[in-house]
Amino acid sequence: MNEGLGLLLSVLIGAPGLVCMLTLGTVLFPRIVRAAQRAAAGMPGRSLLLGVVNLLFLTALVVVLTAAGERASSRSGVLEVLALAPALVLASGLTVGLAAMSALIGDLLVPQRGPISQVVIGAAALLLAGLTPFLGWFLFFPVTALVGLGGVVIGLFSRAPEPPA
Amino acid sequence: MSEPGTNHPTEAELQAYLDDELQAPSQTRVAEHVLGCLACTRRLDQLGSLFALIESMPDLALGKDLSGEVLRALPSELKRLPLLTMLEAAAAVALAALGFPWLATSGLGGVLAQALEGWGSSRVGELNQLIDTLAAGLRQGLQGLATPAVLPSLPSIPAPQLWLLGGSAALLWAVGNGLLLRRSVIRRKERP
Repeated sequence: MNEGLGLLLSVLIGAPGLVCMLTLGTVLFPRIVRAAQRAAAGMPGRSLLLGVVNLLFLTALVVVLTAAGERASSRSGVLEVLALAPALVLASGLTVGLAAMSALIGDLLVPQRGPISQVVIGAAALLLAGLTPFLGWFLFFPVTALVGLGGVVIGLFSRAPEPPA
Repeated sequence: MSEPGTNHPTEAELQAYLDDELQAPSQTRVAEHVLGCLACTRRLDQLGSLFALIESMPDLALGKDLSGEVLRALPSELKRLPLLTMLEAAAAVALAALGFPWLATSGLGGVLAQALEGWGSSRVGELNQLIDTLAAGLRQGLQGLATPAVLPSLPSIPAPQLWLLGGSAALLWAVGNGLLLRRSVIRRKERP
């Protein structure tokens, strides 16, 4: 019972926080979010594959560095600290990717609204859909996050022409 | 009068002459030629009338904005160099991490350990303390997360499997990113 209450509380507190973080991500990094949004909208399949590839690589890098740190005889802790770098890169990529997906969803849901409103509404919709038992937890939210991560990678490594304003 | 068929200005030169876009010597040459050549004078009059007619016509607005389609048709340019640099850096880090367990048990590892001990006893040793503190904090944080079964604890991975995991992930990453980030066009979906 206590666990359920704790989960509910963490969702109630975490959800608005995540919506705010995604909105701020869009405001603070508009170029990369816009590029990721465009890539995710134009090439969702490729974005998903890129998201999977980069998630696997970064996760493996974290595991390898941490495990190597634990195996090392000196146990200086350098490798554990180094393992933080790919973890932070992954977390940043996922956050920016989710911000891009929020903007994309908001643009499709309420095209007449301003960009900030679109991101807030898109993030709220994304989060609520992600809370749907099983389908949201294991399918919608992970796939959306991976498409966003792949969009970020495309946005970082490809220079596409800007669309007309 | 100029002789017919000799040194007539081309159509492009006549148009440029009308627009005052020729350089001074060419402008003078065409002007002198036109003064003495009836055919070129007629052609110049025709061009002048045509341009005047075009300019007098009202501007027509396009019913559809074509700029988006033009931009979509342009290929995206991939920044190959940063990708390669990142690939090399990641491969170097991965290899260093993978090679560390063997390095520590080899003779070279002993020499390196002695050098590190000497380095640690110097004034730069403060950096080691900082790293130790950070690592201890990280371990405590991870243990705290693992205790209530939020994160599974990392099992001890044998060195060959560690090598296989890191190498496979690095290979998958390099090949996957290389294939998926090849030169392509990012298309925007039209809103209905």
